[in-house]
Amino acid sequence: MTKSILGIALVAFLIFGGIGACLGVSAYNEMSTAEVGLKAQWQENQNSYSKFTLEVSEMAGVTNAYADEFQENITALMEGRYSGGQGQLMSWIQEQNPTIDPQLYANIQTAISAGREDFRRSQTALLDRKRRYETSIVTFPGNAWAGVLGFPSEITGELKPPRDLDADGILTGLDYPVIKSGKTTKAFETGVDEGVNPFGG
Amino acid sequence: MHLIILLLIAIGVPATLHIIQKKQFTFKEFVVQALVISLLIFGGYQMSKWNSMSDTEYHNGRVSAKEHFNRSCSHSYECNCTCISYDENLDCTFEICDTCYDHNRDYFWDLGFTTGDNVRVETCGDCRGKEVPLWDKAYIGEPATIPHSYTNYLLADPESLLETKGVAEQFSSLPNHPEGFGLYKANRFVSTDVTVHDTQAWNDGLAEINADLGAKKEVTISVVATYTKDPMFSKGLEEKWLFGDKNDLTYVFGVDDKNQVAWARVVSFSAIPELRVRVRNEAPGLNLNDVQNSLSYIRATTNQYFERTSMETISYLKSASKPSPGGLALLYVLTILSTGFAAAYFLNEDPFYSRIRRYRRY
Repeated sequence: MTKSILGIALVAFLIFGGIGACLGVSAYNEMSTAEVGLKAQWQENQNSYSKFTLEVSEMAGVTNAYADEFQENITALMEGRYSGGQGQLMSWIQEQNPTIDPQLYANIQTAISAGREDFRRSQTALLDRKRRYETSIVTFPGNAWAGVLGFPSEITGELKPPRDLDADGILTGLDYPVIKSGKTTKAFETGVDEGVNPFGG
Repeated sequence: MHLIILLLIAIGVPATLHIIQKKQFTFKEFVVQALVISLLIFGGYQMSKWNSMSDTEYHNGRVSAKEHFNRSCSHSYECNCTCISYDENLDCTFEICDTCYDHNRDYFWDLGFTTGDNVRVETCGDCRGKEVPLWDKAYIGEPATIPHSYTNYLLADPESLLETKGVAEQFSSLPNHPEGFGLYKANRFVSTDVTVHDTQAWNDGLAEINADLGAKKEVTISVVATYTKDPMFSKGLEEKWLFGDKNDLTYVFGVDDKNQVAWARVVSFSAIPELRVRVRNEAPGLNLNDVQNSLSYIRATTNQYFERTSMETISYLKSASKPSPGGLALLYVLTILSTGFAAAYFLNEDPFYSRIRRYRRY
């Protein structure tokens, strides 16, 4: 009887062990892929931002003398510091280039809207990747595999996140930030929304 | 968790049988049954996870070939049998038969498409001259939309931030996603409330645009019209359709009582930021009763600004896939049945000859 039970236990162990090993390999690949995906998305967000800036500045014919000022305006727009949305950036472009063609003006407006839409999607994609990765390493059995396999792993070098957002002591893919407006941060900290003036100012 | 329960059933049942019926259910039989059924369960579970992400998209093109042909009948059966050997009970042990056929010829009606698909519209035996309306009406160059299955990663994770939530319930007039009919056709103009002068012209025109742009841009264009004044209607549609199929581009037009577009949006899984902005800014003012003008706008805009986003960009969602409730129920039923049948087989049979008593010769 004891021999039978030992045999059964051994077979059960081999079956669960074999299937567990398959699932472990799968978990390792999924977590590694998730981290690579997060790094790629972080770069994609920077790429989207840079492409947008370049495209609009080229269309608007911003000269080198005003490049820094233009960059500041674009950053302000993307971070939502302009209460009037893209209207203020358009005014700035018109000030730099008073004889701008109406068709070109319309095209720049479209490019700005499309760039913001593209950037918004990239930011959502980054958040969604972080959410999926975090869910997979905090729920069972992913948390067990993450502990055994050493995930999330530390990111060093150029792709290192700027801050330890989750304060876990290491910089991981879960620390990649999304750009938020100062107004948004303030509203969430104070619990007070000051509203938006659609006409700028 | 379900996988663990299924494996426990697969191992626990033969283990129990081996413990209480050691002579009738040997250790070798226990090992074989537990191992084989566990592997089948694991394979079935993985397949069921993939199956829960299975979806259908449409590839667009035109009818490129119409073929009607026949060949010798393939439906054979044994006939005119003669017994040539009997056992001691006079039961036949060996017989020789002729091969007979249900009919002389099999007839086929096939359609080929520029998408690379071939569809057998009809097949029958001895039915020369039969009318096959769908095949008869098909003509070379006719627009066609053919269903293909693909893996939709959005179905894997309902919690994804990419999906819109809580908007669809605000709109009662959201239409269903247009599906194909008649093997290769679909009506792509959809509305639950708007009536345009010529719906057929819209459907025919959209079929032509899809046939022209389908392969080149990898797109399936649909149009949804509504009297709803709130553009959030398009977000509701996005939620209900889960963006539509992976190659879908749906123009959503909110119109007034004269069918003039008051607001416009697009619903698509593809990123296409410039197309979204242009449609939002440029399409208001179109009149849906002016079918040709509206279709020209859709054709030009899609051709210039649509670029399909690969579904692989969100393949990270697949790690959240789970078997559907139906798939899970099927797995439980199959596990219980296969475990029961295998156990009954090993109890009654001795395939490894392990129960033969061995006697030592003196």
